[in-house]
Amino acid sequence: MSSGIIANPYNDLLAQRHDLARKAVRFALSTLCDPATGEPQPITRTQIRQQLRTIQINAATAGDNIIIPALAGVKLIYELVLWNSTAQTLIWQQGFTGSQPIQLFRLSGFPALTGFSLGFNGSFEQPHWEIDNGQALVLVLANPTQVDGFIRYRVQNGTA
Amino acid sequence: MLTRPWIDPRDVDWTDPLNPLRNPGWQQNNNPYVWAALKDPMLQALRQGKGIEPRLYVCPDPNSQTIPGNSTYDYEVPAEPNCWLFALNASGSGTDFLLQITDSVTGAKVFSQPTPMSLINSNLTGTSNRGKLFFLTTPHLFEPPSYPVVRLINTESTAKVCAVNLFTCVEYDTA
Repeated sequence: MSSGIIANPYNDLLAQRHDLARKAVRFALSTLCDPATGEPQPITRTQIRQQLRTIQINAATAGDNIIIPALAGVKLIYELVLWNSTAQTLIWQQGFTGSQPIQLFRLSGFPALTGFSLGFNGSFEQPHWEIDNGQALVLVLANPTQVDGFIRYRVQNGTA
Repeated sequence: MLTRPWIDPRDVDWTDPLNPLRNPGWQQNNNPYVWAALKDPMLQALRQGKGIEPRLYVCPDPNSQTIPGNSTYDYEVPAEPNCWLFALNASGSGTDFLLQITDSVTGAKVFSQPTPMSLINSNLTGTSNRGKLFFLTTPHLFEPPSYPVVRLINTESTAKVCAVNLFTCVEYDTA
């Protein structure tokens, strides 16, 4: 405290929260611990790569098709390959139609026998999409015709 | 008067009229919505600490800005250092927006997933055009150099207005 300000215990309480927040800032990237010191450390690229999951796209129902179920944690989408058999409009969205979905990507009048890909951009910090905690990634088809492909993603729990 | 229970004046917190723990009139049944927030030690400290000033941020700027349909809009709040977010409310022309507030440095989110604006819209859940506040259970500190990032998601197909008011206070550096 500077000399001009009368000491106030409530300011000490606020200062304690500042100290805690500074620790949170320093260790923002991860909840993993260094086995030697027990201190949190950032997650490595190798660990991220080991966490990658691949899921097949095999949808043929008009309306909502759940591609990634409503898992706990944030789903980070790094890579997407899609093949459409019949011309139709495709919509990628978070959540289900009718319950406030967040539309991510709309492919209007997507042609027949055509592929589409979102490649890995080289950075695990910049996924194409982030699907919120407890929300599903849904592909909405206009017609009951086959759409194939795969998605590579990772589930981020906590701050890891 | 004689039917009223006598309250020892020494039990009353005369410095803080909003202190539910020390002011007998403030029972949880009187106002269950803010009781938990007002008794939080950090919010009490903000009420009674020195060098605290309110800052109210209206988001986005200008607040009449429309957000295109099915799109996400991020507004980086030009907050001063040592900003404490303790309450918020929202209004807009859209029937339901989604809202998220993120700490720009730690990535900490106020809501685990974007929350519907209808939950914090004072026009829908209270008297129209009255300043109802939705208090966080404990205020969130944006430790410098952090600032709040307000994410607005228009889930409708047409452009809409969504305004969010952040009720914050800043703490002068008393170190």
